[in-house]
Amino acid sequence: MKLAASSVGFSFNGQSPVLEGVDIEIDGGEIVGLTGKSGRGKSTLGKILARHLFPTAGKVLIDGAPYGGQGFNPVQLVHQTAVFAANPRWKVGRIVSEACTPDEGMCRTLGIRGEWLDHYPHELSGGELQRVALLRSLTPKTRFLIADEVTSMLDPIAQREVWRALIRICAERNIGILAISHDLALLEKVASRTVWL
Amino acid sequence: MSLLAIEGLSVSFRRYRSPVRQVGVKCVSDISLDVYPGEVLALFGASGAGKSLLAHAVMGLLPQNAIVGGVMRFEGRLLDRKEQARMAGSRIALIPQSVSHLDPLATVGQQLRWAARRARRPMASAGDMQRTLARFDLEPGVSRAFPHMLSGGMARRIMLAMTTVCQADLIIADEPSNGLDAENTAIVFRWLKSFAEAGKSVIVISHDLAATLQIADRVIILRDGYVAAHEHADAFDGDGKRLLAPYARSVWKALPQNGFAEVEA
Repeated sequence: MKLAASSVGFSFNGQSPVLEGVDIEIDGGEIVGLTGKSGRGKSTLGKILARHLFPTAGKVLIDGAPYGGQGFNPVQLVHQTAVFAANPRWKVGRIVSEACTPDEGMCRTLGIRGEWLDHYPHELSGGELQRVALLRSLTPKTRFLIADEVTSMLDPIAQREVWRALIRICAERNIGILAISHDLALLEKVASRTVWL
Repeated sequence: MSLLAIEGLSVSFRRYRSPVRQVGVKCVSDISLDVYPGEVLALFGASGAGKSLLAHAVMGLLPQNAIVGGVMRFEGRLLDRKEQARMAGSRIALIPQSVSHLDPLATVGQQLRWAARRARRPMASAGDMQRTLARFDLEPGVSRAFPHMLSGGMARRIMLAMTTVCQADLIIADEPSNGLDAENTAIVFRWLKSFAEAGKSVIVISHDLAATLQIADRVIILRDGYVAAHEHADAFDGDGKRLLAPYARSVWKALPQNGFAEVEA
């Protein structure tokens, strides 16, 4: 499977473009790094690939076909602050099973503990909640994951654990990952190649 | 003599398990540390390790249901509630984590003037304001801006400016690099280092070890509310052999640039 953006452009309300003529390709089972200075449109490109935003020029396709209309979106986006991605009135157990019932192997790989399910999001630490957000996004129907600074709020040990899990899941399930980060040392470790914006 | 000395600090919160059963939830236990003039002390730890609680305990900003134990001294004098109220904002300054700590309804200029007045060093002229802003590479016009019009880097520099107008001797920066790109992080850290070089004490609270090490003299690592390691910043080098605590070594080795390695602690 191939997720491809070709000559993608984007501007907010006809202002000067945030993105212009951007091409990027991600294969299933591959981790591609995306980096660049702040304000270059890294997160905007991530949102376009996940169909949270629509490009004002160019196309994004999976194996040459459009995606992300009705039903489950095969390209899932997880961003930096997990607490903003969780409904504060739902317990974690309900949050992770919103799209599907998570399988046990995935919980184990991501290091999700059973007792978290009975907690509210604010009762977990940032690292714990980020694992929850990743578990929710990695359903059997997920083909690509846009990981936008997913570990930049975490301490080095939590960061390593989350990425080890993602690398394993990516290989086992043939999921393609776009790792957006400003940390070049991290991208060098986790990505097979890195694109500069 | 140390500027700030903390002995056996503990913080717990009163919570109700049921309408009649009250329990104490301990969050920070038995933390002792000293900060000396002219140094940068880094306080590092995973989220939930108690870093910000420690800062808030020093500033006297903990909520009503907090129970604080232990002794804190500032310049050798007991830092109790009354003394905290006198010192906070004048001799001790906190640079908070996010822009949301600025007043959204007041301009930058007003807030700088308030900070100066709180420290009993009111700004006399428009020139004072311009000089303060210029020190941090901010245009004079910024004084008329409201917080929502600032970028993250600018907001952080304004909070730095506030600590200089009050000329505090102890500056506590809570996650100063959060949400900033590498360039702005470097600018903010350079400023913090310059405060220490001018003889002040700086405590940097951060989960970004690599960035903090560039300016820190000593590093204290908190884990689950206690001090897990106390290291010299230059011991974070190479394979970490000179680090004293196993936990410090495993954090150091977990950094991607140091091999992403798994070391049990």
